[in-house]
Amino acid sequence: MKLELFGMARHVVGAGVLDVPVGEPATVRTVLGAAARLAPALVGTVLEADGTPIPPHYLLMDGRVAVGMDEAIRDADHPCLLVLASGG
Amino acid sequence: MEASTFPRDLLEIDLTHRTWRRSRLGDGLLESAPGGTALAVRLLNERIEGPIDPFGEENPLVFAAGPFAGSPVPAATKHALATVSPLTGLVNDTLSSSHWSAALRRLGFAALIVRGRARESTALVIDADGVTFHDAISLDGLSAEETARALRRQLGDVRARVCAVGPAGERLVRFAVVENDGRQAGRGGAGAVFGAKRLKAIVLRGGGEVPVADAQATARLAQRLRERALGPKTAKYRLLGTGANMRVLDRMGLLPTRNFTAAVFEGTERVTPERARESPESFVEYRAGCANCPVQCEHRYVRRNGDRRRAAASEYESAWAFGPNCGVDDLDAVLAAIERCDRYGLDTISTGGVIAWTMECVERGVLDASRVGVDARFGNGEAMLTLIDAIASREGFGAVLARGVRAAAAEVGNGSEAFAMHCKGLEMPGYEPRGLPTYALGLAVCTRGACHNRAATYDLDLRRPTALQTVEERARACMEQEDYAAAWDTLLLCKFVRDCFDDFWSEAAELLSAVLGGAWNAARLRAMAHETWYCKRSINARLGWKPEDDVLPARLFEEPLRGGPADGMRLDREKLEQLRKAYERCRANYAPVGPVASS
Repeated sequence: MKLELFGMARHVVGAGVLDVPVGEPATVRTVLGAAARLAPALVGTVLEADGTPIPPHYLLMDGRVAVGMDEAIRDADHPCLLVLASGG
Repeated sequence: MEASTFPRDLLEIDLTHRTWRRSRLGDGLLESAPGGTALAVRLLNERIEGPIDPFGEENPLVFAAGPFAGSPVPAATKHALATVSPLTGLVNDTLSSSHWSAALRRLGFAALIVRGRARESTALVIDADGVTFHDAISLDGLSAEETARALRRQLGDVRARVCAVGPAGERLVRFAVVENDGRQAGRGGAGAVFGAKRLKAIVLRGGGEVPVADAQATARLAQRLRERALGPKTAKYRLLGTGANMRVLDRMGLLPTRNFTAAVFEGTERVTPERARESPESFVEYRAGCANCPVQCEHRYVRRNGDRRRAAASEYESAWAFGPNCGVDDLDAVLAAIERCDRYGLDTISTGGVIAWTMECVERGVLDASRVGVDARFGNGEAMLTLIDAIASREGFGAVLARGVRAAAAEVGNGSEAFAMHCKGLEMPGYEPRGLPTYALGLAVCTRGACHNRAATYDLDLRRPTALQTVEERARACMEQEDYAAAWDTLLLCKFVRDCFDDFWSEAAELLSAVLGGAWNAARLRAMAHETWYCKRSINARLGWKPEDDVLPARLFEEPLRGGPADGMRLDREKLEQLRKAYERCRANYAPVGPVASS
């Protein structure tokens, strides 16, 4: 599954997209957990070691914000790991 | 140390009669308004009896130092400036930061008020002995930065702290800024009020240490905040800057594009400030920030072969205003526009807003190029730069635009008012309200006009989009966000460290008690914040504000977004009106805890 990266996630990984290997059915937990293992640079700044986003990072699925770690990610979703640097 | 030793003097200067007076602020006032925005708007409140001409002698410029300015507390060396805005005719509370803010405290002042109008361009020099009035005619036409350098040279004092206006302020451009130490009191046109008073600069010299009530507790709490402010919660600001918002908002379909005709911009990858950071072979990056701030959020960029002194600050709002909002996908043009605005002393959001409106007028045939003076169509970066020059000099069509988009649309007419993107006269910032319902309400009711920083309600929509289900919940959340912002703007902690607090109200009250003394707690701080909002609303009511002024541009209701994740979204007039009424009920039910204190 392709995970789009923005802001700090993109900065620490050095790429805009991460190809995350996950089985079916995918959830927020399995996708972000796999991302944390695949790109350890994310851990500590963007994600906890188990994949939980460190606020104010969150997962966006094509316009819909993921609200829980057990939420399913469907084939049609386009997950994006975001942080909004407010203000300025 | 007793709290009474904390700087608490008020300096009042009359430019007309060249007089000044130093007095002590009353305990009652400082107990309910310890500094910053709370103090500035209360002092303004006492001096506004009814509608006034923002350019008249009677419009005061009220500066109030943040309660932590000059203390060891990091990310808090700031001051507030309140006046009546020449753009909106309403209260304008604006903020700036850095050494000038601390210098005000070091001279023993909690606040400074300037009234009247000088006969000729004047620079005020303030030191421990009082105020001197200096002829500033030789400084006319200089940027704020050049003015500061010239004044330091004239005074033979490299440590003199200067706030000043550039040419745009002198020429009464209604969205001119006041600048100090490279920071700006930006929105709402305080720089034009300087210009109307023929006030070019205010210089602060000398001063001593700023005492704190409990030095040990202050040092401990300041160190805790400093450590947090160097951690992951602010990494986005330190490493990327707010310019990183552009890609995110574009991906969410919430990036206002071409004067809010779209919310996805095909040129984002070419114009995002991140591109400059990611292209070290082409651009040099300079980091900057405010005094005593570990975050240093400002990221300036210039071409490798360019002039380092022309490096442009790449804040999101500025890059958005000249990039997506003007349909310009040329990063060099965008950076040049930002740098030019800083040199002239123009607010970038409003400048981009009036130019984007002009571009739409030209595209629609409402204006022709001969009247505008240039073929100002979306995407034309050269035309954008030409218009910035015209606005700052008030030449040709620039004189029309220099009055702000509301006045310009009223003059041009032909239906252009419907796409003049402002609220109460203040041009809109770079978040798309059609996809952010709480933010839309926050913009509509904001006492300052279309400001994203007096409530930051977009934070609620973005971070907790499903948390608010009912009209009442959303209205109450908006009110609470406004009060939360009023607390930050009074303590004058930078909002970029807001994720560094576990329990903001309690921790901030602890900080305030350590620095100022007194028994501050979360409830008292909340009451102070609410009273500050109430004070702003009271001023506006006397200036002629009416509830029906709390409206948003017609486009947001009549034209659904096209493309992107927010495709089809638009605002519903009836729903927004329901929200507005619910908000007013919330405000009415949460009456202020006491009368507005007097000095």
